[in-house]
Amino acid sequence: MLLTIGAFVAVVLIAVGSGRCVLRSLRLVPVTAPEELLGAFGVGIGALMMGSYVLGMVGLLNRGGAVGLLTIMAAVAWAGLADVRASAPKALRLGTLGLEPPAGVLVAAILGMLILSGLVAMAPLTGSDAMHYHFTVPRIWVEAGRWQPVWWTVSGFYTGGGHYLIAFAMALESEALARVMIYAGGVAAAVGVYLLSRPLAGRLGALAAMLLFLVTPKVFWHMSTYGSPDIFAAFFATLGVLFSLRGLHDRCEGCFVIAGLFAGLCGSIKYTALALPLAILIAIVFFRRSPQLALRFGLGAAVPILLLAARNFAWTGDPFFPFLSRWLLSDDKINHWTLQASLTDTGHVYGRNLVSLLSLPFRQILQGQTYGFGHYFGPLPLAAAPLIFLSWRSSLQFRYMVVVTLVSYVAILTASRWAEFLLPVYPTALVLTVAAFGISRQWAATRKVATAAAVSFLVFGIGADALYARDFVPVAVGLESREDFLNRMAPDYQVAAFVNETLRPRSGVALVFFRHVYYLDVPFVYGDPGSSWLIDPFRDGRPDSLAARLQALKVRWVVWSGHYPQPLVTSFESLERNGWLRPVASKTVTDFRGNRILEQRTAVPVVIYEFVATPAHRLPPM
Amino acid sequence: MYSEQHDSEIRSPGATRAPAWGHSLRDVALALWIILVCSFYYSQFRELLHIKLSWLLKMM
Repeated sequence: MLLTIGAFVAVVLIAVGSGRCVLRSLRLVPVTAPEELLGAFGVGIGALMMGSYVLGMVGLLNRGGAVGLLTIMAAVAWAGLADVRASAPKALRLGTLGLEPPAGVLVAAILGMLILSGLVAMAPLTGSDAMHYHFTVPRIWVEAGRWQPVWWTVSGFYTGGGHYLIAFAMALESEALARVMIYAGGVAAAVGVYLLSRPLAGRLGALAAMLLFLVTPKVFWHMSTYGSPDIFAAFFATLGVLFSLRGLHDRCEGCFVIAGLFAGLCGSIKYTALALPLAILIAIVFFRRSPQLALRFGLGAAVPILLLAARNFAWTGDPFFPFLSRWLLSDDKINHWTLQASLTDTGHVYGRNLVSLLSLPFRQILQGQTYGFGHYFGPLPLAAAPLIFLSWRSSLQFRYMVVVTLVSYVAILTASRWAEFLLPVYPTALVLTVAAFGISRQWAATRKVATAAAVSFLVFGIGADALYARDFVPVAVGLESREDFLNRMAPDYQVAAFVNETLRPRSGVALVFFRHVYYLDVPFVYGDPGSSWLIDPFRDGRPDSLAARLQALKVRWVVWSGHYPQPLVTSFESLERNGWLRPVASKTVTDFRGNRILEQRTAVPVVIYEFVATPAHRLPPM
Repeated sequence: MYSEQHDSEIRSPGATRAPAWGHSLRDVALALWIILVCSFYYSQFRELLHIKLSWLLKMM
């Protein structure tokens, strides 16, 4: 734990120091001290992401490579930390927050939320997507020392800048450092919300916006247990807006380049976050009508985005794999089953008619469980939407943020119906919400109801986050062992532990169908064609072709954990009946049924089969 | 960007201006909208709240 905290402090200081040197070399005069510090952290983190990308490319994604990268950055960081070394509180301008009663209460609540989410972030990894790919794919890269395509989950190709950072942290120290870095991304995004709100809503309004951001269940979840780098997309989105606004407001041309870099880093984190650079570019053109400034912004944004696209193009021939595969790849290279499942999984196929589109903002928030957990964002931006449009004339910054938020929201809706992808849009939406509530003072009833709505959401959010945290705090403070915690809270952990225990002494690749594979430490491939590009039910659906596919994948063990993937059930059962699959071990474990938050557990039978592909075992004709 | 002058600019009464004839109507409509959205929003958590609060009830 101490080593992790030490490594974390070193990484943050080096990121800020080196980032500051870069920003100062650009002579961004109008940028204020807090903006510069936050921007420096963004530049430093961006450098780590891209540095980690290069390490992975040249096969140095290991501890030596990570220490080397950090050492190079540290060499330039020393000068950038001169005033922080002298007095950190002064450099951070903490005195400007004020501690009179209303501000003091807000600052105390913010600190409380930061401590709570920080504690929960200390708990071992249990997030569902994190255990499927956000942490598993970087772990595979670090074990190999270089980037490589991971075909058993198509999600492996969605990895981007945030996953390079996770891989860097894992290579440097451990998974724990990667989790703490994600937490730091959330803290930085919250500071970004404060800085964006400050000119629109005043100091108290900005503190309230920061607190609302931190208590939002979606943000709390992402900062603490979710284990996804998506919160960095929100952070870079706030930086992109902040610096482009600074460029717009103070005619600082260099600010557009650095804003472009931040927006590009945001877009490099996941495909749908590409909506942010697009939206900011449109806003710059709309408000400044200057192709030159748009070009500066676009050049800054292109670098990180092209790195991501180039990697996927080199691996697959499709820079945005698998979403352009239908047009760019020959039919024999496409797993149509997995492609269709990916489109469904990312919410790409919900209705496209006008009524469906117009009702989506309501459905995402008011029926969030069905539309990608949109209800975890809270009701405030939707409640404030009419007020935001009525406040259009309030200031240039306000109008600029309305355009960025609206364009990026519509762009994400066009690509997907899944509210999960709206996290990068949320900071500006929340800033506009708080600013619009502040402007509503001319309407007495609205003002009172808006204040009550904000306070209700604060109470609801703090209560919900505290209830959620109670399962994670005991292990974080050392009252529960890691093993007991994982047995209790990590989906599929007991299945993975049984597979490890049984197969660790034996050799051979295991084919598994349970989704949460992070804690598996035997060679494996994931076989559910809902995510795995390796098994195509259209081609491998017959028992003989399935057996041939298993042989091609060098599978020796098949792990049945309560089910086979639906399109392959008949074929696997045929292999069982005909002796190609021979049971070698079995156990009944306990696991979650449905989403973990519903706290429903069920018994799951697990059988490990040996795949015996010899000529003596002939398959019957179909 | 942080000047008090800027804050006062944002707070100026002329920042947004509704026509006088629709002022009250718009005020009530906006307030009702916020109440409706929040009511629908919180109603979707009944089941989850029951599950989560059962832990508290057990503790008591």
